[in-house]
Amino acid sequence: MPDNLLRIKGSKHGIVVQFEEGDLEQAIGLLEEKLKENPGFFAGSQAILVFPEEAQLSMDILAGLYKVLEAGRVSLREIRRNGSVRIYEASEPETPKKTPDEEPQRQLQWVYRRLRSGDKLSVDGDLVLIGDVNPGAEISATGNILVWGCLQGVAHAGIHGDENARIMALKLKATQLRIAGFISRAPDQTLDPIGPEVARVGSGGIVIETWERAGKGEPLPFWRRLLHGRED
Amino acid sequence: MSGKAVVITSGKGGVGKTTTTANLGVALALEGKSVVLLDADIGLRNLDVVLGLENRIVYDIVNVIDGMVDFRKALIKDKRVEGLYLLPAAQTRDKDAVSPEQMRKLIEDIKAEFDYVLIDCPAGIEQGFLNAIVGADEAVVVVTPEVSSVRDADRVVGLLDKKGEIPIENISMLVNRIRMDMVRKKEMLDVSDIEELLRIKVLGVIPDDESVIVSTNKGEPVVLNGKNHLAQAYRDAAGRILGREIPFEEKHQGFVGTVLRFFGLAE
Repeated sequence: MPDNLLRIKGSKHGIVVQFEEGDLEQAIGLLEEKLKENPGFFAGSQAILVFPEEAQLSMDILAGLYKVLEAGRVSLREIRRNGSVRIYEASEPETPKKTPDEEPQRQLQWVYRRLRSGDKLSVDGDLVLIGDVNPGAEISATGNILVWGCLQGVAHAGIHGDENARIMALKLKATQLRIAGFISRAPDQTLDPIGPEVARVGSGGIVIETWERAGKGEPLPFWRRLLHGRED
Repeated sequence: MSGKAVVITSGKGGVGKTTTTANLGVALALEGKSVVLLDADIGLRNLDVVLGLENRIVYDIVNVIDGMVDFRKALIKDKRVEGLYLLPAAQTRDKDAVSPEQMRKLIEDIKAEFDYVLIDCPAGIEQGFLNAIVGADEAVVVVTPEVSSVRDADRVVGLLDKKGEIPIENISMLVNRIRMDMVRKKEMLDVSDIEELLRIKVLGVIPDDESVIVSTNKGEPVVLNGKNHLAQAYRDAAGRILGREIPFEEKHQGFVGTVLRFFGLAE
């Protein structure tokens, strides 16, 4: 099956599935395969489907697509044609009317333990870990991660694509940091951090700031060099 | 009598589990305890060689577990030290020849008659490891001052703790083959680095010394030949197994004292 029938990208709002010109049914089959190959990655996310302008979108095709997405536990957010036309937009999920500055309810989990090499911890929502994360251990959360201790393993915040997620640690010495689709590794020459730090997605990749300066004014130049790049 | 079973483990191979088992065993026996050294490395037995008892093996652990002989009959008595016995591993079988339940039962039986059972654990974290830890009350994690060894030790501590077999307060570490010249030049991790990561108590610190190789090849654990600093380091570790408070500072004059002062473990 030709691989160039569709492209899948991550975005702030979910996964973007770009259909190219060609047989749509084949493309849907391909999408189904991809969702099956990597269920953990896609499940729970929202999809934006983008079709070429000339594509014939019949009810059958759309119904088939909907089934494929449903099977992969992906919800449909939007359907668009190339360029601009928005064909479909999911209505906002029924949430109680909220005042403009009210944050949506998020889960916060407190975990009291030390993670040793080989341990894995994954939570839905935000994670506060009281304890160290030793090298070889992995933690992940759909939201933010705060480690009240020394973070030396791998941390992944915003695993479902939340690029606003942050990773914070009293001592941030992670071998690798991941936020949404971004990934960055520790510099080869490791300096001991001078204090608590915050990692977030900045321009061009994951940036690190000291605790005191985080979120204040202009993003600061990295005081510590980190190699960063987008996962592809 | 109900004795204690202590498993000597590490995760990583080649860090000195077998040598440690042999020396701690001899040191405990010299303290007047009755000690069985149990080689759980079935298929790759070494402990008999390190103890110089290879040529006296008639029965092994698999024979005992199969019910062919009573464990008392399979034990090899060490002639040099009163109260020291070896239950050798089988060389012609593999780790699947023994189940965790059988192992637990065997260790219970031995504990009923001896003060200490020291279990020499195979490298790795597979079946052989699980068999070796199942009956143990305490664990000694042998770690050398290398990043890879420390990493594996960390994994092993996590596994011991998680399996619920051995509570974290019963797990200690023995830092093996430390070289002060390299620590001073910051080319080697020091004990406090390892402690900071593993967060378990230190049972002993054994300096790197060529005499270990010589004694291993001769089948004579270093603790047997008297008064050198290496033998003292093992005897101190054994003393701590017995629950003695052996301050690192007082006992250690000379080289080991310098080592420990350097680590900040001694004044």
